[in-house]
This record gives sequence, C-alpha cells and structure tokens, in this order.
Amino acid sequence: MKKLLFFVLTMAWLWAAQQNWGSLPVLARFFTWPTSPLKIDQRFDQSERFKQSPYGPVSVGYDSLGIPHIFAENDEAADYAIGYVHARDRLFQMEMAVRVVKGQLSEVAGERALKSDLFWRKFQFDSLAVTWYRGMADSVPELAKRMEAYAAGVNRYISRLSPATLPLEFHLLGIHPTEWKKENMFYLLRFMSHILTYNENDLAASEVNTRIGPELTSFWYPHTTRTPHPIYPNFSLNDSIMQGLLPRVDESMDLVGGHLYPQARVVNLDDTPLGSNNWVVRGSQSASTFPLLCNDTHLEIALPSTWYEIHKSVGGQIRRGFSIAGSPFVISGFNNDVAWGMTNATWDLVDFYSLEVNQEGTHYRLDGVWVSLNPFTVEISVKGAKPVSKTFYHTHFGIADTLAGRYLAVNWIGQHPSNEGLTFLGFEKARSLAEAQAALQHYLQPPQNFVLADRSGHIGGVTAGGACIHPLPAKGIRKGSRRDQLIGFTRMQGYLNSVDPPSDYWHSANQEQVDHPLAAHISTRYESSGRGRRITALIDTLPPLDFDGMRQLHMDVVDMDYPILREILLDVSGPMRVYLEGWGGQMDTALVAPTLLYSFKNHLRNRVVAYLGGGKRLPPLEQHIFTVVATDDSVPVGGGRQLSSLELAREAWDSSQADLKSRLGKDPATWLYGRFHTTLVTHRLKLPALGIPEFASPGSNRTVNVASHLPSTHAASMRTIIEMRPDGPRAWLHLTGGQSGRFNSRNYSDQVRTWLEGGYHTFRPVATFQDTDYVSTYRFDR
Amino acid sequence: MPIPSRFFWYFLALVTLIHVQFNMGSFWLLVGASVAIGCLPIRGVRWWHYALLSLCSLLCCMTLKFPEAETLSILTAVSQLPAPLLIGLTVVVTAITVTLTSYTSHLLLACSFYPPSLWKR
Repeated sequence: MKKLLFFVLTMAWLWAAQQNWGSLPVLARFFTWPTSPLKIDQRFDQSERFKQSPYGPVSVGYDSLGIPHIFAENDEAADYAIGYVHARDRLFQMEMAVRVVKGQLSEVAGERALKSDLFWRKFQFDSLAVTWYRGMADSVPELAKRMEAYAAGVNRYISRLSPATLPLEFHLLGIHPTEWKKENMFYLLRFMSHILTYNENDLAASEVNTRIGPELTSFWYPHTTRTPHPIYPNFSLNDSIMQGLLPRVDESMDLVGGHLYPQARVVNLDDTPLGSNNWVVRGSQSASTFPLLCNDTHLEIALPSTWYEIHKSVGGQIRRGFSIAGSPFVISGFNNDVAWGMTNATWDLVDFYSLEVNQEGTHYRLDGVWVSLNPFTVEISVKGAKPVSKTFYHTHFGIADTLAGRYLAVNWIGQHPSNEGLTFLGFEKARSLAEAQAALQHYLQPPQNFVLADRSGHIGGVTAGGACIHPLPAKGIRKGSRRDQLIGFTRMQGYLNSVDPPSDYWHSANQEQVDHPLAAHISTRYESSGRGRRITALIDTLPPLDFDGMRQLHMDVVDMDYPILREILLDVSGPMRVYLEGWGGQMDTALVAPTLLYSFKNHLRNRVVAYLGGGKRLPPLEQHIFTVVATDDSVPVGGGRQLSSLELAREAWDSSQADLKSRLGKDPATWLYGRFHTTLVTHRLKLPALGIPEFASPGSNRTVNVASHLPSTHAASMRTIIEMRPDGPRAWLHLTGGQSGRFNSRNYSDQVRTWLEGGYHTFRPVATFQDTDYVSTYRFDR
Repeated sequence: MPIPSRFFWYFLALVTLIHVQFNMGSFWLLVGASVAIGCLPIRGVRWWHYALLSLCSLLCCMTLKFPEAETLSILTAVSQLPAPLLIGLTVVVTAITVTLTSYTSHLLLACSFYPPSLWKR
C-alpha cells in the first residue's frame, strides 16, 4: 500500500511539474535547480578556443561595444563565425523571427499570439522556404554554401548551451532553441518585408471612400502631394514606356459600406514612421574632397536592437556595417571599395481582391467560369488551449480568407519568391559602384532607396524592388473576377536610378521618388517630403561637409511642418505667441514652443478627422492637412459645408491648449518639450524589467532626427557616416540600443545614451587579428 | 564481498546529486539520478533521509555558485516573486522531486535488487 501510494504521488508530481499553473512558469524548467534561470551568469562572455572548425580557421574578437571583429581566410569560415556570434548575442530574437513567420508563436506564447499565427500560416512559408532554398542551391551554390556555414555556426552555439548560458527569454517561455535551418534566411526576409511593406490600408481606404464620399475623398486623400520634393528631381519617362508599365486592365473598385474591418492592420506613417534617411555627397561637396555617405534607418527602437554590427575581414577584404541576426550579410555598410545604405520606398505592395463565390462556398467566378477555391486548412497549436484550425483558399489572386462574410484574396509582395541574398552577396564583393548597381538587379523586396558611393569618387542612388503599378491610383478593394485584373510586381531599378547626379549629391527620406504621374500609380501615401526638403537645404547651405557637418545633419531637429504652419499658428496663438516668435522650429527638450507645435499638429489632424466623421484609423496625411489649412481659405468638411481654415486652426489650438493644461499644468512656462515628448525603449517581450525608463528626447515625426509618437518608440535605429577615400574607407557608426540581447551583458543597452547625445564610434582598419586588444575572443582552429 | 557502510552510500548519493544539479541542465537527468540513488543499497532508509540529501546537495551547489545579483534582481522583477521566495520555491520543488523519486524507487526497486542476506546485514 505504501509503495503504491508513493508511486502514485511521484507520478502525479512529475506530471504536475510539467504543467503551467496559472501565470507561473513550468515548475520543472523554472523552479528546479538543474535548469533554473538562477544559474544564469557571465559565462557566455568567456574567451574560448575550439579545435575544430569545419570551414577553416577563424578568429573573433569582441571590442568594448560588443562588436565582433572576425578574421577568416574564406567567406564560409567567416559566416560560420557570424552564425556563432549572432546566436551568442541574439538567439532569442532569431528564434522569434522564425517562429513568427512560420506561424508557430502560439505554441510558446499562447492565445495572444493566435492572430499573428493565423496571418502567417496562410502563406505556408514553412514549406515555401524549403523549396526556395533548394532552388537557390541549384542556381547559386555559392550562396547556399554560405547559408549552410552560417547555420552550422548557429547550431554549434546552440549545441553548447547550458542553463547558465541559455538566454533568459527561453527560460521564461520554457522552451529550448530550435535547430537553425539553412533556409531560415528566407523567413527573416519575409519578417522584414512584413514590417516595411505589409498593411491593410486598402481595407480602411474602402471604408473611408464609402463613408465620406468621392468629393471629400479626392480632396482629403489626393493621389499626389501639393508640395512634392522627389528623390529623382530630373525624372522623365517616355509616354510609350509609361503606357507599357501600366497594366492594361479595365480596373474597378469594389465599394462597400459600413465599418467592416475593425481588425485591419492600418499603418499610418505619420504616427509610426518606418522610414529612414540616406544621402551621399560627391568629393566636390565634401571638405576632404572624397565622397561621404550617410544612412540612418528608422525602426522600432527596442531591446535587443534590430541591427547587429559586424566587422569581418576575409582574406584582407573588409566588410563592415550592420547585419540582421539570422543573415550573415552586411545590410548597410561598406567594404574596401564601396559603401551602401538604404531607406524604405514606402510603396503600396498589398492589394485585396474581392471574389464572387457561389452559395456553397466552393467555387469563385473567374473569367465567367466557376473555378475551385482550392481550400486548405491549417492547424495551430496553442499553449494552454486547444489547437485552432482555419481554412483558407488558393486563388488566382493570392491566398483568400473570409473577412466580414466576404472572400478577399490578398496579393502581397512578401508571398512571392525572391532572393535578396544575391544582392548583399554582390555588395560585399563589389569593387565599384557599377558592380554594386549590378548586384541590385536581383533585388525585389522590401523595395528600398539604395544609396551608393565608391572610392573612385562615384556616387548614386537606386530605388530597387518590385512596385505594384496600379492602373488606377485609387485605393480600396479591387474586384477579382478576371485573370488580367491581378497586378504583378515590376522591378523598378532600371527606371529609378541616378549615378553621379548633376547636383553632386543624392538623398532619400521615404518621400515620393518622382514628380510624375507614375508616383501615384505606385503609391498614394508616401511619407512627408519634409525631411527630404530639410536635407536638401542643409547640404546646400552647410560649408563643405565633413564628419561634423554630417553629424549635424543626422542630429537635426527642425520640424519641417513648422514652416508650413508658422503663419496660421502665430495667428491663433494669442498670448502664447511670445513662445513662438523668433523660434525656428527646433524641437529641443528645453523649449516650450515645440510642445505648442506638436500638440497643435495632433489636434489639427484630429479636428479634421472628427469633421470627416470617420477614417480615424486612416486619417489624411498630415502634410496634406497642414498644407491645405495653411494655403486654402476654407476646406470642405462634409454635408456640402466649407469651414474657414482659420476657424479650424483656432479650434485645434483651443483644444490643444486645454489638453496641455490637463497634462502639464496651468503654467505654460513649465510646458517644456522634455516633459511632453519622451522616448520609450522597451524589451521586445514588453517586460518592463528589461526595458529602460522613459526619458526626455528631442525631435518629432517631422525632423531629420526622427522621434515619433508620444512616447516615441520609433527613431534612428543606427547611424553611419562613411567616407570613401582612395586609400580605403573611414567610418563613424552608431547602433541604437546595444549589441547584446542578454540582459546581463555590458552591451545590452550601453548605446542608448550615445544615441540621444549623437555619439559615434570610429572604424579603425585593422590588418590582422593580433593588431588590437579585445574584451573576449573565440578562436576556431582548423 | 560485504557492501560498504551506509555513510559511503550517502556520500556517493550526495556527490551524484551535486554533480547532476551543478553540471547537467536537465530535469529528467535529475529524476534519473534520483532513481539511481533510490536503488543504492542503504539499509533502514527513511524518506526524509533523501530530503536531507537533496537539501544538502542544493546547499553545496548554491555555496559553490550563488545566483548573481543582477540575475536575481531581473528574475524577481520579471516573475514578481521576492528573491527569498524565488530561491525557496526552487529549493522546495527540487527537493520534492528528488525525495519523492528516490524514495519511491527505493521502495519499488532497491529491495528486489539485492540478496536479502546483504540487505539484512
């Protein structure tokens, strides 16, 4: 009896220890000493020497910022080492990116991740990536070998993990890292493509159209901006080429009423700028007479950072810059001969097609014939709940889902095969701007404005990637009833490029590429041209540019909406005018005027949205609102009514003042921008203990040094200044956040303060591994 | 050959537990080690002997490598459990696992492994 009792008790205990109890982590993982996170220590940072490297000897030295300096004889050995150091510093981030795209997040995060999994699983990337990798192995074996070496490096690190070195996040979720597969880079590309290109704005636009009517829509949501400042100012296109680019489709929009898609993923770039800045000047504009190239990418500033800085020397050839954990390539940076950077092209790359489906829900009408919907069902495992299954459909227009009782197919650039690895492989090996430009011919997504410079003194820009050139600029849901209504993606690098421009500089800041009807067929919601205009003005007016000039540009916090709104703001500000007179739009933390401007802008936009009676989730672009209010005497607000612009501005001012009083107190002298505008750097799991307390920060959503939102969560996630000299590159770099994803690393968040202060670290060319001192090292011997 | 005294076996069990808990990051290895310990030919053993053994082994492990202050502070913040409770829970869960598993294996397996003559000695 005693034996039986203890046997039952033991079995019950072992079972109970494997379960989740309430919010407690799994007992067997979290609360037993052998696997306890209490064992986590600094062992991950110890120098080590390994006897066997399958790809040849390689040495890795970490500097005080946690940047690995990798010296190898061949690319595969270097990639093996990069895989190892990426895994050491960013393993959880890599695991999550793959889980997200494979739709396996709910397995570890429970029901709150179900929406994400339902979105991703329909694309079936887990099987597509394997197919794409096999195709790549056949067509570009060199690239496949490098992916293999990288995966081997990641897995070498995973195989050596112990509870003391396993990243905390794995302990918290009670999971172990999954084996890194060679094809995982494709998931990473889709992950980035989703961040930069995916939105469901067409669903919201469809609602806006039906709510406010065509007249108000055409006024408040114009297809082109009134104040263009294009990236390619001298662009021209032969009419016949333009006609050739436009699909020959008699396109029609499917207008529906009501608020049907409350869950749509609307991305409003005014709130969450995912854009960036880059610019390059020729030697004629620089103090040193050599080209200078700069880049800062605006992404969510979270811990760990999106970027990971690496320096590799392969057979004496340098590749330095910012990589993304999960890929061995330098995405923005330089080699001995060429420098490159990028900004997002902000194109409309998602189309929804409404299908006519029979009553049984088995077929849809295509070219007048009923065609099978080809259903497939996905089953998603959910931690702590029953598995969820959902049926989707393969259609001519893409994967279809049922939304609000309708069958909508989505055509997103991310679901199309592409291999951007070829571009970055080409960049790393390019010896001239022309070779870098040739590498860009392979590029499809996410479309980017690439900036280039080489050490021969050439500079240029290329907008590379696939554009969905719509027959009509109108936004909304398209009818999908004929095969030819499906709009494909056209690579634009052959049309949008400029090498050695006559102005001797080139820049982009996510604004429209061209002042030409083509722009509206590609997208109708570019970012404001304000940053671009400011960069132009500064390059034109600053003395010959050097590091200090470039830094000044990166750190510039003049709000470019202010010149537009200045007069009307002075008109309505009454006694508060004293704070605005003589102010030039600098969004500094120690001033009151920026608070008045930022709050006024928000309230002006909200007033317009309120008058339009809807469309709050997809408001008109701020640049357009501010321009019409500043230049038109009156604006239409519905019901055939015109409202005086001055009256609208006064209403916005009054409500902004009331808002500021309630938030910051009655004394305007204390409304310093530093109290109003803060930055929040959180951990990616949103665990407060792993984030940084909010801090005051300058800038706004319309300054070159972007700091959007209240509190700001998106800003420059890295900065580069690269000078391409004939004797090799000189560079100054900065990564926002820190190199390490480990909370107990000295490099977890050590570069947040330097980001705020505009600090950089200097790149010093080092010929061999022995030429400098390191904090810790890894040596992989043959 | 006479079997060594019980102190030898207790010492062996203690070293095994320390080794498994200190060097091996697996719950199931701990369970396996506990089963093995339960099978050791220790006469007149009581369940609380195993509990003491596990507590002693945990004490040794924590003495050899006490949690780092930074780790402790982050874990307490993330789990919202005070540090003593966090460590206490770890000790209790580990000790229960070792005690239950080893005593049950002792009851079920140890007696049948060895000849009664040795067992009664």
